[in-house]
Amino acid sequence: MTAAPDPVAAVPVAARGRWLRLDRRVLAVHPVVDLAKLLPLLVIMVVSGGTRNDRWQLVISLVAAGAVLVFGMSRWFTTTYRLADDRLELRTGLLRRRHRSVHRDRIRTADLTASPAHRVFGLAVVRVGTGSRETGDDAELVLDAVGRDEAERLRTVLLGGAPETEDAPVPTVASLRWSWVRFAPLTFSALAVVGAVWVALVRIAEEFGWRPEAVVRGTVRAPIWLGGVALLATAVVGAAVAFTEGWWGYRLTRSDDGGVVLRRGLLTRRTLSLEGRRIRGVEIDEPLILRAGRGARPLALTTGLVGLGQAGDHVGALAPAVPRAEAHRIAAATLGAAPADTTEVVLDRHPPAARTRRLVRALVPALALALVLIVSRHDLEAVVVAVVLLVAAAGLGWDRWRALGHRLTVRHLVARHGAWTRRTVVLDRDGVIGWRISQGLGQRRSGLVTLHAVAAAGRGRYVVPDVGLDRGMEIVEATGPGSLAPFLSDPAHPARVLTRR
Amino acid sequence: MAPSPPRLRAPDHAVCPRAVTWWTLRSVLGTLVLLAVQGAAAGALAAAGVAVAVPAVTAGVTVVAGVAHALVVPRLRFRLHRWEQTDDAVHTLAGWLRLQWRIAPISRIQTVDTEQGPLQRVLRLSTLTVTTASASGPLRLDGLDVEEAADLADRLTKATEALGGDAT
Repeated sequence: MTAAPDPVAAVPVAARGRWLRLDRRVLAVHPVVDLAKLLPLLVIMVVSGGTRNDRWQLVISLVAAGAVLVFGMSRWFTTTYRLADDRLELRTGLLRRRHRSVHRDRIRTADLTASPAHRVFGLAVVRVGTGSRETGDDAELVLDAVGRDEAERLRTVLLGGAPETEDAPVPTVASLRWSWVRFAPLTFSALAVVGAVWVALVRIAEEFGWRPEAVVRGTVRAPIWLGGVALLATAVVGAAVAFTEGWWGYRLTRSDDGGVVLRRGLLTRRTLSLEGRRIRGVEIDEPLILRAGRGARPLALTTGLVGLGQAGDHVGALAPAVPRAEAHRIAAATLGAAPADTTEVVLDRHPPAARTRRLVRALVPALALALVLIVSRHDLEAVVVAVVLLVAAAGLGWDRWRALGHRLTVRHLVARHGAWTRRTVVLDRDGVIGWRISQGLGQRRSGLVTLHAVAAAGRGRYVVPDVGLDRGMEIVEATGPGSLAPFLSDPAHPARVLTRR
Repeated sequence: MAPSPPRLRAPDHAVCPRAVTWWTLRSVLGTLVLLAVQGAAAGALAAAGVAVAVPAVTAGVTVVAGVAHALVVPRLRFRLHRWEQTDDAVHTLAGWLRLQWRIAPISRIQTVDTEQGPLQRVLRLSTLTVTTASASGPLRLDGLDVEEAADLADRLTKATEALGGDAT
């Protein structure tokens, strides 16, 4: 049986040591993209007639576009890259030449994105990251753009995997189900989309000379329920559109080293590879509204994942909002385990003092607000609102208490908290690189502490709120690096160190 | 009989006594800044013809709170803040309302820095900052004597080098 062809050797020997250019089709992409950006302005100019001022604006923007075009094309001439056996090198710059080289050992991410313009021409942008926490220019090497085949080759070679061939099917963890679109409007990001859409509409209306005051007067006179329906409709439609664009063709596959490859996107195609050694755990997020709809979002906790900064994207998301059981399955499969052992493991409860704390912290602000309301408006309406507020706060506090739980399994620390957004975090015990044990005044009296597990992955700090003091110390001692043993002492014999198994 | 919960003794070393002076000075400066802001607001209100009763009251409250803070908190902090370096980690205890015990294992330390602000330079104090691979921020030790901080930084750097590795 022949071995899989070595991807590096497959490149002609002459090319291996040579500096390669970006794909020639980049010269075509840039003019198209820049002209497309100018198009709205031109359309508005044509439709609204345009004053002398506007004509100057047009001339200036055409000149600017021309400059951007020339600059973009010069980028093709001045950018070259070379993939050697031990490093990737990139030379860029017209006036200021930059030579960057990255050791292949340090490369942690090699992601592909292809915007619609790139896809039309068969190109993809390769982003190579080292996982360091630098920002700006040093964060990653960007090859904008290379041919699609070349991009895939680079991705597999840089991440040390074997190329996917037709006769070696890769195990699929999950693929898109259209029934998931029903969860899309339930996430908080959908609400943000609504505001953005309405602001954009108002701006466009202003450009066309429609007076916003007339529109506002019209909306004020319209009944409130109409406005509510309009907002709701915008949210649902906007979320569905965002879902379609973001998750079309979604496929999550598992690779040999225990990592996952995530492909998704309709207009902009994204391929995200998470190596096994970078994954330090998973998290399942259930925002309140989504939880009511029995949905959840699975996320991967990885080291060095630089957020691509696009609106509505969750850094490390493994799937869109999906049914809860599916989210648990996907998250557990990413860890290579069963949900019963990881995300759905039975959690230990926290002490009753924690329940008191949760309720008090929820009720006190609500009580203060209710009192202010009643004092300032001595009428029945205020009392009703105050009662509703108190009941809601009590419900939230109780929900927070029920969400609290933690468990130490053989490989993981599992912790859950939160009502507004219920987060279940499954963190690799080896991934914990430090601890913060904090105790506020109230906790000092009830004998509780809040643990923060410091990790190199994801958000950096994962909280286990309100555990008992001795249980907290047990967790820290059992999990983390950095033993508390030198500090433990037997109260009866202060000189003797008490060992805990 | 069930064993009583083990008591955790505090880390060994206290910070330098001059840190009390530093914290007091910072507290006073903070109060002065707040008063300046309120004074500017009062001045603007007076120019606009609105009564200055409210800014006067808040200014009074600020002064009282500021004096109380400057008298009580630095001394409290000096009593509570502690640090210690064990074989495998650096432990610090900080805070006054909310106590925070931070553990940074030496095998996970990436950088060790010391820095001195202008006030610290006059008082011969320094702040030690230990970073790890986490996005959640570094471990900070305030109010150390300059030489003590340099010494600790040296020891930590040597210990880190001895272990090596990627520290993630």
